[in-house]
Amino acid sequence: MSAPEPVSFYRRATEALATPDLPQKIERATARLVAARHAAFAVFPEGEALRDEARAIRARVLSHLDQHLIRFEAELQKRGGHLHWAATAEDALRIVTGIARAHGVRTVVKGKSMVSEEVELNGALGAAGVRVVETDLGEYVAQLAGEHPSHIVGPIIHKSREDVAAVFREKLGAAEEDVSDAARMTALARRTLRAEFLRADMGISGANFGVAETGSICLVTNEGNGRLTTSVPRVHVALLGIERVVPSLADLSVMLRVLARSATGQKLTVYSNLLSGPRRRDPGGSEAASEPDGPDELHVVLVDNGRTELLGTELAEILYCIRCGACLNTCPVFQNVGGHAYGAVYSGPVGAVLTPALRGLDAFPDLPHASSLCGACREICPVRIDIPRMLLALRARGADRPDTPGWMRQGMRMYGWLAARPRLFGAAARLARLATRTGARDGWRRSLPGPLAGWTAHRDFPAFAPRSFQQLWRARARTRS
Amino acid sequence: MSTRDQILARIAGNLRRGWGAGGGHAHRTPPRATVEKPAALPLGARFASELEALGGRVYAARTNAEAVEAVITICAARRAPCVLAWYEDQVGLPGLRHALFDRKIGYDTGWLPDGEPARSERLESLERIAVGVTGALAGIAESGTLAVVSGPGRPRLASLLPPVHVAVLRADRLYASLPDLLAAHPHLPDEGSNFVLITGPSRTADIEMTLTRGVHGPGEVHVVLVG
Repeated sequence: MSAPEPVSFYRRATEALATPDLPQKIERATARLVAARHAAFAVFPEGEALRDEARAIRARVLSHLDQHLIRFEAELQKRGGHLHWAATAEDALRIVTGIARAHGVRTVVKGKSMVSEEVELNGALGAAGVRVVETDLGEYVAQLAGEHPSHIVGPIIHKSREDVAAVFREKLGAAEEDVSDAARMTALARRTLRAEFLRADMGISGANFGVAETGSICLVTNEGNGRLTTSVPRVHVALLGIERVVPSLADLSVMLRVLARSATGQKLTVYSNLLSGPRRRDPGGSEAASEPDGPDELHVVLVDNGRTELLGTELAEILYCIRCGACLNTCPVFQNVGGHAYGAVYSGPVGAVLTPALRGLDAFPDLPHASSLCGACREICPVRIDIPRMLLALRARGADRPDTPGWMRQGMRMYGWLAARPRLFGAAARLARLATRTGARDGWRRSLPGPLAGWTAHRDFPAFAPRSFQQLWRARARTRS
Repeated sequence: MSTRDQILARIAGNLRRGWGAGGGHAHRTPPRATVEKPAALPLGARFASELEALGGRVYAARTNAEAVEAVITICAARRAPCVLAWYEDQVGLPGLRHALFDRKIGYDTGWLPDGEPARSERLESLERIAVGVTGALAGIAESGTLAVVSGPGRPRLASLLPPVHVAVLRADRLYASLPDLLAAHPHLPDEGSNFVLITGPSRTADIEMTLTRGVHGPGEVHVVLVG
């Protein structure tokens, strides 16, 4: 399974909108998640202050990222863990397949990890002869179906219950009574995956946070597959985005409380799992003084893959993201087209910034345009990331690219020329006001003529106000004097 | 230069580019952790109502003997021939092992041996145990959360592998919120390799947002609140 080829967002979105029931499925799921999120914050009076605090923690970490990473490394090693630094996706793949090979690993159970999707780990492990089993229920279904997850938190919100039943029938040979409802399908997945956990040679997980002062990693899961992945197999490998450290446990508690409420409306996720090194053993060999279970080895792979290049740039703020998925749920574009339309691992508003930021605007030139700039993402973001600002910055970069269409360059140049001449600009505005107000109904034009028709193909154009800003300004100046 | 040093050098270099990491917000010192105002309910009642809203069960026990009886009742109702349990001093209930033995309920403390196939075979046998019994370092009232730390005599798998998890929690170990708990236990990662906050039974809503319990972890969480 390789990552989807970059295809224009416009084309993918058009396909998504034409897929029967897909926009309805996405809208139903996202509406419930948004409602749960709002309900959770409504009864949490200190929620807004906690969001400010979470934002400040992310800012503080990133402004001294190197120091926090050095501390994280030292503390992790002190507790018996191994730290690996991966500058690129290739580094990460080499490190993880290397660990698998060194332990003669045949089967890996995997917890949810966006970073592993980003570096396309499953493909690399498969090529190295390692069988990989996704264990998050949604990810497992997506893997069986040969698809990619379509949402950070709900990987298969694009699938109906009947879709899932069809996958289980076809891929697992499930009997009808095992797929008759969500509970039975969940029970079937539990049985099937439990057997995989018990015989797996290695567990691979993501990590939501690394804690610098203790060298711990933290994984949050509702299902518990994250705990099984990190506690049952002999070897545990965790992939951690290099920006995802927090200084202390107190900082972690702030992040956990805003993350759970933002992602699903829970006060805390069912399992907030903090791992500090592998199974601890008494040096003297006493069983009573040793931990009875846990992995013998813990490896943490810090994955950069373009992130640190964003530091010090206008896009650095996207590194604050804690992957709660709230901006996806609240985005009117995502609600209609779903995650696959973005053609990359990270979708929705955060993906529209992060994907071009990490993988280049050349491959994803239209993603920054996959937004109406309504600002709902900024409103809901637990760490208040100004996504619209960065979408505009990326659009501006895009306008400077050589393949920008000639008519757009000419148009922008003409507008610049006009805007620098107040009298002409005023005259043009009067003309436009007349033109847009004729034929407008309830203040909107359903279509524009000539070359502007494309703009109104999928939306209406607001008629100009009866009086221009220049006119209002002059009137105001007169009444003041 | 190693990859590590290259990455660290790049970070240091890029942070000097002027934008700061956060477009001007970089050096603000965060305010102190906010602590939720004490709720009107006493901590025990708040804890119970939160956990029960998530589908967990809470049993009040005034004495250790009552707590032992509560654990046995849960095991007997499931006809469990054996429990996967922490050492009884770690559970915090002296006499538990004997009391279970009297009811012909075995007590497995979950030691995993080294080497294959011994380790896998041991996991297979632990998998068949229906009830896990643990203590708890603490509880969080505002969310109905158990704080559980692994360690000698405290297997991780006891709160994870069996479909039923019974935790014994001392009422004086209840805190209002997570920040309060962390403030009271500043050296958590020194106590065990795995510290886990458990907030209700394992759950998923991946299939059409339909809530289903017990997908991977225990579908039942019972807390015996002592004192």
